[in-house]
Amino acid sequence: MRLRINKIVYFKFAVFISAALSLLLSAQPTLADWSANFTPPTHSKSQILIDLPDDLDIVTLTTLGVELDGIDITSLLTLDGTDFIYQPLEAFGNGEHFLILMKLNADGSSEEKQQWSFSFTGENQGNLDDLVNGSSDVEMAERMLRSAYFRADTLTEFSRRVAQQKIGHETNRSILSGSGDLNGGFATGKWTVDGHSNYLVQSDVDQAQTEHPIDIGEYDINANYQGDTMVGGFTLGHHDTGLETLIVSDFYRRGASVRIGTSDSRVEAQGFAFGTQSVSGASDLTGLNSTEDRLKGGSLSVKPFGTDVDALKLTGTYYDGMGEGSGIGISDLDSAAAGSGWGFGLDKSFGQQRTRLKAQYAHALFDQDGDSGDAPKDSSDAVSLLVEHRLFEEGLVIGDDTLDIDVGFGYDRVDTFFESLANPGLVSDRDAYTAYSNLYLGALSANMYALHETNNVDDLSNVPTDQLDSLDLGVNYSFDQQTGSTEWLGTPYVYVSGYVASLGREKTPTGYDGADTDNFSSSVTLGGGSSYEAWYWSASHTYSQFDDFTNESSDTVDNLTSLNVGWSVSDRLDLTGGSQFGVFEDLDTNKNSFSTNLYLGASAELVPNKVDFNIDYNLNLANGSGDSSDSHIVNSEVEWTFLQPRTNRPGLALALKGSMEELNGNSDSAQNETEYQAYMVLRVKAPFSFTY
Amino acid sequence: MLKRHSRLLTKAALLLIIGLALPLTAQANVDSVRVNPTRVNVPVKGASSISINWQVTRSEPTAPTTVTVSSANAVLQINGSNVVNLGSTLSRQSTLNPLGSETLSFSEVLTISASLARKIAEASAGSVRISRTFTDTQTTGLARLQVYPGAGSAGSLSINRIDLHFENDSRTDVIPKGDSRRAIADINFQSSGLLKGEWRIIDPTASLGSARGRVLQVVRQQVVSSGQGRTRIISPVLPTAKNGLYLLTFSVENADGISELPVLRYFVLEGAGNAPEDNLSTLSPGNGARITANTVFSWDNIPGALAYQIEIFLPGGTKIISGKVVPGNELKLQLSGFSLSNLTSGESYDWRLRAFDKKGHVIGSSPRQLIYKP
Repeated sequence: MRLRINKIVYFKFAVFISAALSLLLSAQPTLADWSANFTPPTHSKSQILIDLPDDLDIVTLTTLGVELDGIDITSLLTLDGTDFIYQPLEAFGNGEHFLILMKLNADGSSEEKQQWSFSFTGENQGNLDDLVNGSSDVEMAERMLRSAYFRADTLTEFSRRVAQQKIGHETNRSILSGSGDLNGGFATGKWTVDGHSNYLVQSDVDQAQTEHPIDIGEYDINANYQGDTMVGGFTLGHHDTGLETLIVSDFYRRGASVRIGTSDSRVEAQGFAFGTQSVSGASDLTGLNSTEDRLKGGSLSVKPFGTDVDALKLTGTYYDGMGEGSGIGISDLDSAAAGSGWGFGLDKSFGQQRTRLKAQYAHALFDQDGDSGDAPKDSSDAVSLLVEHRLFEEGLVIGDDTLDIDVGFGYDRVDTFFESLANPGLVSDRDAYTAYSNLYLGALSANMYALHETNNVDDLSNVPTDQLDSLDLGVNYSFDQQTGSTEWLGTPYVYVSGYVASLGREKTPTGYDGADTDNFSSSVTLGGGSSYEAWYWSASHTYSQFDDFTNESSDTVDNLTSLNVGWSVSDRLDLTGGSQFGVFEDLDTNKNSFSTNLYLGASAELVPNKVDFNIDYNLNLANGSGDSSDSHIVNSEVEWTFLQPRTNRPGLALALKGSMEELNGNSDSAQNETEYQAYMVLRVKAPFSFTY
Repeated sequence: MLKRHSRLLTKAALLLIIGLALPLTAQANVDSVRVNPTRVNVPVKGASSISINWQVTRSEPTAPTTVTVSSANAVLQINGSNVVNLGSTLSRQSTLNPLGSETLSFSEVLTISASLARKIAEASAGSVRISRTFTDTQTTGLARLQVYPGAGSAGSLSINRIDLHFENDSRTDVIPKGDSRRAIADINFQSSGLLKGEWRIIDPTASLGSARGRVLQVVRQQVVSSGQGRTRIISPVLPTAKNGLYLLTFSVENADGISELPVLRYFVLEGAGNAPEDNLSTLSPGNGARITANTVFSWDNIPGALAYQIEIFLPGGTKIISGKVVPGNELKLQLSGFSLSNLTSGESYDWRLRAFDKKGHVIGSSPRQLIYKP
């Protein structure tokens, strides 16, 4: 019979361990030998229970740890009498799971006290990762032959406008809207295929993302082959090549790519074709319909001398194409361009990546305004070198903490007219030397970044050359969870960051009478925050100053203070709030402008699983020299779910939602205005899931 | 003969007086045209824009009149030759009483194409200017500003590219209710100055048509470059408490050439959805750090986290080798001895941090980094 304590006592076991450590050193367990019983979970989301002997003394209790599937879960154990209970954070996946009860020794070592295993099969929704993880080859192969899944989360809303005042444009009285997220996949043999897509519905096409009331947003389809010696795959839809070179980088667009390589990553090759614009919708499903808005290319990576973590890796990249770099989410001044480029890179490290070396060279042909424009096609080059080194082989122990310091040096030279369609954000026309360092000491981390940069890399005779010197610093520190009289501080953290920058003229061309350059700017941010029980808060203040010694522009000072607070009052009520206050001072004209923003929000479950309510209030004030109307906005919604959705059974809910904005023109009463709009909404929530 | 000469002189004097008197009368209408700024810089590469204000001062010496003051276009000249017409017609009505005067203000944004920027860069310094001639149908006035190639004066920050996307790179997304998601604005700019921006959002309560946005966060950030620069601005955690469509944008000053701000759409619904990726920031240890019992894993707070879990994998692997989980009010941890014992000395591993909410959803995940067990 076990001793039961009526009230479940929650405590942070790891903290308890450290608090009792001194007691442990002087005490001996009263039970020389004992064993625990394990009650496996009944389903994939149920608790794990370890039944310890009732008469196990508290000192022994504090020397125990528990590991589940390799994760130390001791800190999340709750104690019910002398039982350890663990509520899994996420549902257990299919396959076997291992639970280990560990005994911690006074010298810091540990030993396995007991081990149990349990397994789940077929309960969960299909997930290809589950097949790959923790299954034997034979078992995995058998399952792969018949594995497939489809999962969809959908929401469809029929909205009927019930009230409206002074909305300045026509909107439909009845609107059908909604969205969905679809995932599916199957595996057969050494192939896995998975796909993802979302869609948007909006019957009022004036408010729709594309010209169609129902259209897809983004999608991707991936097919991967995992052989014993070869790997490969094909992707269609929105994706990124994963390349980070001077020619191709951060290029997420709709297109197609194919890849092949050896399973030890010694050789990896990739071919790709993408539209240059960011698109959605089904009108250009592959993203490759237009020859005037398309690029194609490829890359090849080889590790000629080995595949260890320090192995030399050589990468070559090529692309050519034409088009615009704008579209959904992107606004760009540049017009349609045409270009091509190639480059190669070298990656090599030493001493288990203690020293890392990266070098790149790229050559580009780029016509800024395409073949039809007057601008010439430029031939240009770019070089990037980076060396990183960790100062201490195993870190320097200072007190109870380990000190690690990384240092790095870089050189970048990008010609004035260097540009690539597949790396549209690259900053060109810079000759830059950089040095940086990262420091880690326990919960303290700090970083430094120094830069010396000049422009006019092509040395154009009529263009001035400026130089920039800047230094960035940042420090973060996370305190331990506070106890005793400072417990109310919770688990605080603080940070400070700042920079100074000096910009000046290095060379002025003959006859040049344009603006001179000589200025100094600086900025510092102080911030911190904490979590304490159901509370969290954060605050920061930024001070920025700009001094123009040429008096071409005004000297300015900007202050911005922010505060955010959140409080989970209960499982059914969350309160949030935030405020920002900014002052911008023009020191030459003595004109100041002030901005104030306030946000207050509440989210409540009025009736569990039935009625949800949320409301927020927003205040936007801009006054001083940049005076504009005060704006007060209230958004609110109450939703009554009368049929809870379950997998493959749609749910229904009725909601009343709306927003109201009041404008106050202050001195100009003509700007005073109150607008509002409210809708009654019928929601159909339909999650679907099929596995095979 | 003398008389004839005298008549000729008289005629010449009359013609001279008439000739002088006519322009004097005409100049009394358009008295002056001023332009601000009087000199500008344009980047040598790519398209750019110039904000210009023209001030036309005119007066009315005689009867009350209403006239149209206009200018057909601006002209860019290099070495005195007209190269291209810029801008469009500027026009305003002007009504004056006798002896009255007024100053009319015309503002415009001129776009300099990439090819024109190249011509300016190649022209000798001081030889490029933009002029506009204003007329009130009777008289005319002219003003010019000098154009120079280069980054421009301090404080003349100019935004020329805004790339908005979510942390997972997507630009149209469907997000589970309560999920933690941020947006990123990659901004390319020219010159230096204080970037004044706002994350603005339209909630589902307004996205059906009233389209009233609220300020989610004000951004003030000094940015510097020797000519061209790039900065990344990360939004606060986006609201996901309400079902429906959200519209998000980053509005910024000094983006005159950008005609339309980019907008991201995300739809919130109740469902499992896909777990977020790379939306958690870790503070320590550094990438490639040697890991010991003293190594501290620390990270930024994420609202709504019930627990944080450090997970360690073989490089590129998906099976968890070791790790540790702590409650959501703790923002750092050290691995226990038995967690470290799961790792082999001399081997490198990937690690990441994941955050779970009270419903068991993964609401945060950090990018993978490397650690080494000495």
